[in-house]
Amino acid sequence: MDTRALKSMILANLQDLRRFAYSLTSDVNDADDLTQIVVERLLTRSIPENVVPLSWMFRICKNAWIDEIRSRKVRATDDAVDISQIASSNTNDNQLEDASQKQRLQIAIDELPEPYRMVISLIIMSGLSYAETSQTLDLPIGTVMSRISRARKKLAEKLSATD
Amino acid sequence: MKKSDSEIISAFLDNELSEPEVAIFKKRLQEDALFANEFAKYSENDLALKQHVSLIDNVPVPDSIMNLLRDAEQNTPASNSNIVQLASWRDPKWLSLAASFLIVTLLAPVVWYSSNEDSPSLANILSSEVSGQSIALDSNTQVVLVMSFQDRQGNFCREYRLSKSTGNEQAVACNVNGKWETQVSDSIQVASSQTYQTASSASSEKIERWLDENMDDIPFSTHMERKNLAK
Repeated sequence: MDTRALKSMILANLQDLRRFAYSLTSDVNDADDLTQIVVERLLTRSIPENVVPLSWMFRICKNAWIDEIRSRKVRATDDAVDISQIASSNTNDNQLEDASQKQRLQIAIDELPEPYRMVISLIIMSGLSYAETSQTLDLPIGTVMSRISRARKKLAEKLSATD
Repeated sequence: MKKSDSEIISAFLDNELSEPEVAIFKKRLQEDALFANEFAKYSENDLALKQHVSLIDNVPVPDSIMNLLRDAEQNTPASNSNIVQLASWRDPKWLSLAASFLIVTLLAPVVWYSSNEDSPSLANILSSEVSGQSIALDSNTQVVLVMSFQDRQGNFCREYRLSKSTGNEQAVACNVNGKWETQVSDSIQVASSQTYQTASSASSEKIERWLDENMDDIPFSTHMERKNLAK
């Protein structure tokens, strides 16, 4: 794949890549730092043969998150820039409830075992297919299918418990 | 293996069902209220997840990222590109949704005692530590606790990974009548020491299939795990 085609691929999937990065980091600044790392690596390193570039991009993102962002323990904290907290000074009951629901969702996601959080991030939040996810995570498609269904079941249980 | 209802609903939501399967799915939605209720719950949660993560769409892409893509387009001639020509994608040979049955090998009970009296034994770790941690078993071995669950016999079970100087192993052990017994294990490839690798990314198909066959339900939450560890 030449540079122009690679750039086109990245641009076409940049939104999904940022969403995936945000799902991992729960922080806008960290998500864009991670996205930048991924783009730099894609543009400076060769992509292995027989690997789908899209799956490779998400795999780089996953590994980069583990290598660099997580080692700095940068996760959603009270001090992190979280979009749900960027609000006008005029809060009302609806906005407060909305923020509370977002927080419950984030907590439920954070409490999932990592294998399940990862497939939720890739499939539901970033829109990858089972085949693309299996390439990204280097897992059989059957495993991807069972993991995502278990992840959904687990998430539903958690969210029902907090209702 | 017959797909469970949650797998069918999940596959529908992910556009992974064939056309005939979609037709069957839609018919069932009309006829089975419980199934429809489960679908509605998953669908609602999916929407919440997508809305949650799409918040970043409202934040402009930083110039630092856009500049990288512009620079790559403008300054790198194709002939000097270090991006190799990709071969066309082939279907991975392992792809199959048809179940195949594995022979589950029951291994000897785990009896792991460290030579160092001050180091924890694996049994102690499995009995007391929550998932998500990496714990030194001895100077050469790390154990990473992946998750906990109940098997179909009602036993408390744990998936973990052992990283040793001689190699790496992923395993599942269950507490049967007060003793930890290894149910399945497999050697796995782990990335070099320069690259961190999660337990999930090093999982083996053998382990995954055992889990599919033997997990009673979904993994324990932190709360349920602590409750079982306290017993």
